[in-house]
Amino acid sequence: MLGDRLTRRRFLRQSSFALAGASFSMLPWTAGESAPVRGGTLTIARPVDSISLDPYRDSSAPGAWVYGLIYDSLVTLSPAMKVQPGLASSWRVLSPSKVRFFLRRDVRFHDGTPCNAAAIKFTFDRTFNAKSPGIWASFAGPIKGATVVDDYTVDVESTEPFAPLLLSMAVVHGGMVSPDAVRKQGDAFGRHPVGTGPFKFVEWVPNDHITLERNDAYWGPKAYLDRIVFRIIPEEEARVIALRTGEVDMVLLPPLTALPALQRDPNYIVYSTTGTRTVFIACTLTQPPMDDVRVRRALMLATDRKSIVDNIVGPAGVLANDMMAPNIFGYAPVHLDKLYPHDVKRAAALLEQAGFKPGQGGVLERGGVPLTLTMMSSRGRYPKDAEISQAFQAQMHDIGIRVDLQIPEYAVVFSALRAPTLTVHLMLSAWGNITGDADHTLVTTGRSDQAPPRGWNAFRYFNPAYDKVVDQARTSVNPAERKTLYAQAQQMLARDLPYFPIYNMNNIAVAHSYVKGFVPHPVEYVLPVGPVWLQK
Amino acid sequence: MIRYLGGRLAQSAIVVVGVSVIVFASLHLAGDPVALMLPPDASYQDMQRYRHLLGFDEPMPEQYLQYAIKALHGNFGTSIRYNLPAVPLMLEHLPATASLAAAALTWSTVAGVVIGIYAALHRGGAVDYAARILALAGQAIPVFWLGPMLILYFSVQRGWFPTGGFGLGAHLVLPAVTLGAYYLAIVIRLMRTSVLASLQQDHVRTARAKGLAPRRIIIRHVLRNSWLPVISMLGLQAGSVMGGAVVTEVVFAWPGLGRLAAQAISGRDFPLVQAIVLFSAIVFVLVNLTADVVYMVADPRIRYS
Repeated sequence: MLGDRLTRRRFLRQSSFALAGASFSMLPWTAGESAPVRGGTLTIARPVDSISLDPYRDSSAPGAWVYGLIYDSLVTLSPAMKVQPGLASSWRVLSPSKVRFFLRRDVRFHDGTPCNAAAIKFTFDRTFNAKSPGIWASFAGPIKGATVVDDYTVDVESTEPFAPLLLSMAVVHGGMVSPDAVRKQGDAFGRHPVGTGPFKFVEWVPNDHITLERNDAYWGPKAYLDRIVFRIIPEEEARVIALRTGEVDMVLLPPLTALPALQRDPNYIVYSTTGTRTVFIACTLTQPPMDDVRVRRALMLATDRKSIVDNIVGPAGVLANDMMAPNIFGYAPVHLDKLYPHDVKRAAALLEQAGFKPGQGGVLERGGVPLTLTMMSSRGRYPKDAEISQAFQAQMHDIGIRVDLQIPEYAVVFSALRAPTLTVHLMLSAWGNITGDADHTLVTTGRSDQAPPRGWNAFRYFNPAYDKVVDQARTSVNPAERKTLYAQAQQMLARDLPYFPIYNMNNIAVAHSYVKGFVPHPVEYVLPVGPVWLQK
Repeated sequence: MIRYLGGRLAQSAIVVVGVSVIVFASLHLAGDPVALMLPPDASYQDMQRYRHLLGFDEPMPEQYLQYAIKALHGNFGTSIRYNLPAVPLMLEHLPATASLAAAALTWSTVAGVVIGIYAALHRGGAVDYAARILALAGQAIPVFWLGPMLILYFSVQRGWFPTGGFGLGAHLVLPAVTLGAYYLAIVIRLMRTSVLASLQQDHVRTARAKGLAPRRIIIRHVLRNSWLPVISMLGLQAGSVMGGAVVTEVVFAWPGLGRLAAQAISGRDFPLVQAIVLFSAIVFVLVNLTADVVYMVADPRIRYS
């Protein structure tokens, strides 16, 4: 995470590609780079508290933002989405289901205990056990665990060939915990975290703030900051006010309406990078008439996605023209804007082919049954989610489809998503890729065996040809071959349209211009404030 | 008196048990928390196992009985979200809410009583008009508007107070003013009305006629009779202030019980919600009991039997 100046420059060059699509990116190093200054406290405002600072337990981004600074993983994923050494200085792929990691020998946990192969194995044993698996296990696929080869070498194995194994080690949720501290603290470990990271835990006043301080004994480039304070300010306007009064230096999840003014003001920098999360309208393929691909295509053609993104989403994201975000390994362009341009006439023709005729009150009908679709949407879970659903409802009305929209609280939406059966036709939902590998999107949300409650294939997209392709890509060790297979899978999705991608979400932060060295990360769980310094 | 208190305590226990039944039932009817608790990839078997582990697959009366037995032994369960015991979790958020509620109620009661008396004694005067406008405004202005306005003026423009966060000094001022504004309005109205009513009483007229000093008349004869509505109002509001603080806590990023409760409800964290609601019910009942006892002290004519 922390790079010396040379590596920082290098990875900034690499990351400029990933940042190219961002609508708000102001690159901090263009404003005349100055030598980093040691010292000071960085105060960050965020809307909600962490649940726990134990990666075993907290899957939320607000948790990961903090514990990502306390723990190190075996390897890390740079903002340019490249794997870099972490606790492991190098690694060797022994087979498609086995990678050997060579550990650094100079690493100690904040409590002074050594971070050796046995300690690494402890985190694996704790996380990858069938009885009570940790959060990490839920998206690290078929990983079985780690075995100690010698004091500073571990083998990580999976039960089946698993190409994304290395990327699965690079997630913040894979931070290595101090075995000693876990044994001493038990359940309270989440309140007294001990890792190897560039920052050490100081205190946590629940729902108020969490304080971290510099780890002077850090094995890598040491932090410039003395302290980082994460404050909780639930009101989005209040977060910006606290930024303006100087009470905080950086604001996460700022209100979108405040961004234009902040961007014009030279005292602030708005950081934005397109993330790995795609917000989409999902079809339930088991609910007629959504089982008919003509109906799905007609709905897609009738949706003015560009207008929705331009007028509603704004700086929160960029129009999604493909089935997943471009910064994910295995991404292939499918050009949804060319396949399904906004074309109401074509949509009407497709619906007619599918047997729908104009009926009473302008609503289409087939066999006397009006074309009424039920839709569920969250509000405030993703930027502009409810507003998008309402715009979609209005656009469907224009071609004679009645959409009954319900917007319950998120717990209800979530329960519906996880239930064995889903009765609504449409749902506004999203998928955020954590590992940076297409596997975490295409398998988890599309393979036939991943229908809820097991996985996230809430579309109930059952396509044996697709399953075969994504499985092949999972077991191949040849990156070029994997890319070809994933391209095929994305083309199948574009053809079958189990979901209508709307936008790829931007990860946005605002900071005072004296905050230097921050590069936003495409994975929303990662907040790389470790290398930051204050130029006051 | 002792017998009366004993009876009241027994009644209170019934209220608390009733509250616990209603909360338990309504939470369990609202849905199953297991889907929210488990990681995204949890299998159906995992979910079933968890349900069983937490006892969610038992019939509801059976679940309640288990819960009640444990609660009587002082075990209110483990927060699902935080995986920590619910009661310590609640208690660690209590000081913030208690200090905010105490500060808000104290200043608003003192100020409200003074303003109310003055306005009543100078009925129709400038202060009376101002007090009536204040009383109207205090009840009509919502917290979510007043709070940000105070922040904009006193924090952003003047820089006198921080915009939010926890602390017992400068941090406390704006949240206490915001939360207290509503109670100030109520106290002013009650106090003004009841002082006006007392002033019409025969014994006050007699006291005036026999030439007592006005200060003495007000303190000994008017105030003693005007206290009672304010006391009973405070008894009712001291319980509700815990809930009413939710919005204030959000506006001022105050780490109190209200925000914890709101998070627990939206996260379906049953044990935590139950602990908080039960605790609030107990506080509410006890405060009202105290108010009744204070009645007796304030007005010797009142005797319960």
